[in-house]
Amino acid sequence: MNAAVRPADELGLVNRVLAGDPAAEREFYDAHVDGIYRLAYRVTGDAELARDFTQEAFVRAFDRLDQWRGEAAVSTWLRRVAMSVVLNGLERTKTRAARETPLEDIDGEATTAETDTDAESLELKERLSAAIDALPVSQRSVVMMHDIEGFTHQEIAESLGITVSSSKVRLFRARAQLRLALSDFAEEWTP
Amino acid sequence: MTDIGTEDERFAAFLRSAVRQLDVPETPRDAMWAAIAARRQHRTPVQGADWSTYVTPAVARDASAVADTVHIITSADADTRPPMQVDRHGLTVQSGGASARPVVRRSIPLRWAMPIAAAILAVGVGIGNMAQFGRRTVAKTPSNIALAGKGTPMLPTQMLTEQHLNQARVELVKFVATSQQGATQAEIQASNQRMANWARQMMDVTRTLMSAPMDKRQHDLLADLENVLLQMSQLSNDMPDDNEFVRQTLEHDQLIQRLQSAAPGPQRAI
Repeated sequence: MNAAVRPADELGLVNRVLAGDPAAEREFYDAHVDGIYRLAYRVTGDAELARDFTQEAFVRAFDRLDQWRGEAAVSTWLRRVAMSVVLNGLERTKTRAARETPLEDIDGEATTAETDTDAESLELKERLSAAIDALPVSQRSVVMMHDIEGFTHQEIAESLGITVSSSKVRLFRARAQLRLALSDFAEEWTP
Repeated sequence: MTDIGTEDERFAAFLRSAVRQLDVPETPRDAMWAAIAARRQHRTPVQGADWSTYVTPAVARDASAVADTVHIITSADADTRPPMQVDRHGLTVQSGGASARPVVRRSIPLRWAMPIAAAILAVGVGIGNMAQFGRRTVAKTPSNIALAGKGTPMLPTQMLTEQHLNQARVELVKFVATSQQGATQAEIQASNQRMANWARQMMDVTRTLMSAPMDKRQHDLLADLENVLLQMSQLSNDMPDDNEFVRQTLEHDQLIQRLQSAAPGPQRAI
């Protein structure tokens, strides 16, 4: 998940951050920020919220890095911090239903789509985006983490502070809803 | 649930490919770093003594006393790490031992003062909100404090947790009952609105309690409760399926039974 910092270097980097080395703080940030921002964006669907939550996650992570116990990779711990920020932040802002997707920009180009493939791809994007929007955030976060980001259920459970079985249940339900919403494209995944 | 099958795997692959076609904006790396650095400059490093800004002085004193109690009672817990040293920031730092990983820890009373104070406040707010709905009040709540006075010593956090779990159980039972009694659409809508508000209140307390030391079973119970509360906080009249999902989760996790077991309420207090 995090190619920039190998596990062997991770400990040294964390130690340097804990020692107050500003360069290490930036290095730590650079190593993880893309993944955290992407995760926040995919769960919120809003660039502004993703930016705010990513900032908050790193502020909180730097404050609490001493609480990282080393049982999991620091990236997993960081994602847990980030997801906590995102979920609580969404509750506060209550804007989870108001996702703004890049599809608005794409809408303008729809009239210029010249091939069936382009139109179909655009249709898929719209339907997929709407289907993801319709998922409860608890399911959306799990399906994004598992199916898109490649987290294991164990990692998701650790990140979100839920049980592995809860993670599986949420994924099962999220996939069921998405399959239903995207049933027009079923030939893509059925034999 | 574990056997997702090949079609499900193909769907996951399709989903992965499709979602990656949805654009993610470029990470505003430098702008975010500037904001983070600015915010951190205005903070006292690591000590986190600004907890008192979040609570009233009176609650802070209570919380500190509670934290001291928790510290005294839990100090016998298995913290087998090597002895601590005090660093230049006045923090305790683990040294020596087989593990090379340094662990910097805040002093325990300060570390738990804020979460516990927040829990006290949040429970108060939650109870206040429930009273607003004409529901059970503190006076009608099963008296765990009385239980503690009957020779079963309970930690403050344990009392708060049991009270929280008991409150959750009562409301969840009512939720299930409402959905099973052939309620009218208007009644269900009103119930959904109220339960969503209630769940949001309860989630904060649940999360706070989960940060306190407790055994794995209770932590898992709180985690499963949080899962349900998260679903309930999103109950809306536009998506009636969500009610069914909540009921399925309650059934799958046997949550009400586990809550009953963990916090029996009035029966235990008698």
